[in-house]
Amino acid sequence: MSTNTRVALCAAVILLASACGADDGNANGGGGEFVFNNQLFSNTQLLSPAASGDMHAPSFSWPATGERHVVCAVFRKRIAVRQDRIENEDDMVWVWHSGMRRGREGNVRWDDGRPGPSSTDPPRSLPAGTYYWALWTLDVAGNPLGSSRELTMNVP
Amino acid sequence: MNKSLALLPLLLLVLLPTAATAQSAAKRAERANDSTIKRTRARVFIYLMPIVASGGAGDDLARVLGRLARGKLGALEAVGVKSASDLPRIAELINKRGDLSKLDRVSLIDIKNQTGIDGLVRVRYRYLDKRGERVELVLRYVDLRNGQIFRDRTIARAVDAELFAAVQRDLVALATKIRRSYRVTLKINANPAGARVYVDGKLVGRTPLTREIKAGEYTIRVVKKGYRRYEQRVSLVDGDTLALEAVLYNPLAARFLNRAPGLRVDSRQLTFGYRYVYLGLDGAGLEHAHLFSLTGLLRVGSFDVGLRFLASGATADKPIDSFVGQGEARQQADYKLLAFQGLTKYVLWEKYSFLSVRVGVAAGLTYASSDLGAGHQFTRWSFSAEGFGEVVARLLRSKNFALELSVTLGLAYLGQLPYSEREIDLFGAPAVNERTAHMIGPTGALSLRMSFFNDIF
Repeated sequence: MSTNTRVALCAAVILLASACGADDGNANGGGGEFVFNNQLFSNTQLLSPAASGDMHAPSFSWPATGERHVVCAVFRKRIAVRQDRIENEDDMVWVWHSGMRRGREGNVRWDDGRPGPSSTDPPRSLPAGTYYWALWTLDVAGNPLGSSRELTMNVP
Repeated sequence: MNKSLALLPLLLLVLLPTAATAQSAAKRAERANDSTIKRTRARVFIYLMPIVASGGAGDDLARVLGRLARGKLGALEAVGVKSASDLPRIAELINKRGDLSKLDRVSLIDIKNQTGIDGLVRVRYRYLDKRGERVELVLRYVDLRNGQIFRDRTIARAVDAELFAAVQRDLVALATKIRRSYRVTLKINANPAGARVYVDGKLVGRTPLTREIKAGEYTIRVVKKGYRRYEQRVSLVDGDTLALEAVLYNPLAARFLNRAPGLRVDSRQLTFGYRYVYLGLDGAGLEHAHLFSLTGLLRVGSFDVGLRFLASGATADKPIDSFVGQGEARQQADYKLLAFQGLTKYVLWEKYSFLSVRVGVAAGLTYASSDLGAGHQFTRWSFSAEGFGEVVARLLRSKNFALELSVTLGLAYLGQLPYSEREIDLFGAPAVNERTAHMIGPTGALSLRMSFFNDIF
């Protein structure tokens, strides 16, 4: 392999890496949402949900996973994760999970969720501000199986 | 640690034969002492009457003949010479009845019975010339055992070496004849009685046995079916009496027959088995334990003593609750159990070793581990014990080997089992809380036992 060929290959690799970085990058132009690079739980399948509609009471959609334990939640603060567990559960302002028997996994409306894990009240519209949300699935033994990155949602 | 545990049964198997060999040697020595062989060598006594010249007391020739007879007869094996100085009473007995030539057969036998003398030699002589160069010897040899004259001999010739040689031949002939009339007596007893006796491979009868055989070297074998045979090489000469008490051993009945004092190992046992224990541990999801067992035992008297190794592996899968609903999640765990226990059994009842009932206890240490995956593994060492009853039936027997089937029922405490309880909630990886359960429950086992008896027929 000649020196020129090596240089050309290195350049191609650098360009490819740059392109991927942009793809995983900071701005998700479609929803106007900011995406953090870190996946919620380590060594899990990457999920790619999206929020749409009225940001005060958005709907969430993702490719259906078929798992029994699916959770989608919105936090008022950055999601604090330690050893694959979410620690700031008190910051949760809206949650939907597959045990609620409401909505359809992969396509959930705001009204399908609840204000908190143990609440039975209907959800309230989100006041203006920045919110953080994510989607994750657990396997049959409760271990994290899939998770999205932490996404931001700006409510005007 | 697991490897160490696995090696211990192997160590046991190595040590058992070694211990048994040493014990076996001790037992052989013990057996040699139990059987006795006693040899009584018969001794023939010949009485030499005072040698006198016809018509008067003897002179130097009488002393020479006396020394000759004493020397020659005394040199013969198991022959003794007595003279009038040794047995003054015999002269009285003969004189009481008159001259020796006048004694009838019954009188001669009576002398033997009263004095214990087996033969008698009377020598008389007279010179045939005045210079004393020729002499006439009149000799009478009497076998007192049958009261008959063995030989009467008159020798008239010069006093020379041939004269003394002729006398020697007659003396030896008399002693040998008497010795041979005794033959060899065998008295053989065996415990138990009824054993066949072979002399040089030829069946001569069953014990208790008394037989007369010729002198010689023989191999005496005492045989009884089911018992270890007794064999001995003996050298016997005329007149010997051989009294043999052969103690025959039946290893299987060693506890009942010929029981020696002290402890002794009758057999070594190696057992492979399957053991079931009902645990019913809902929390751990472990309802049953299926164990493989390997046991090494020594039979000492009415006890079986040894070591046991138990191993088990199981996967438990139980439904648990989650935020989705009851039983919507599952908990899986791989359990491993290794137990190393000392074991003692007592033989309650036994029928000829074909069927037996035992009770026993076992105690030792158990290593238990549970692996939940995702790096969650718990291990624990704990005490374990078991009490049980056992029925053993023999399937086959070949020489010193027996194959037996045993069925066991009891109560087992297998020690402590670590396991986890998971709380599956919305917030990611479940919290894993370590718990401990005591593994106790009824147990049953089916085992195949190989017994190696230390005695070889």
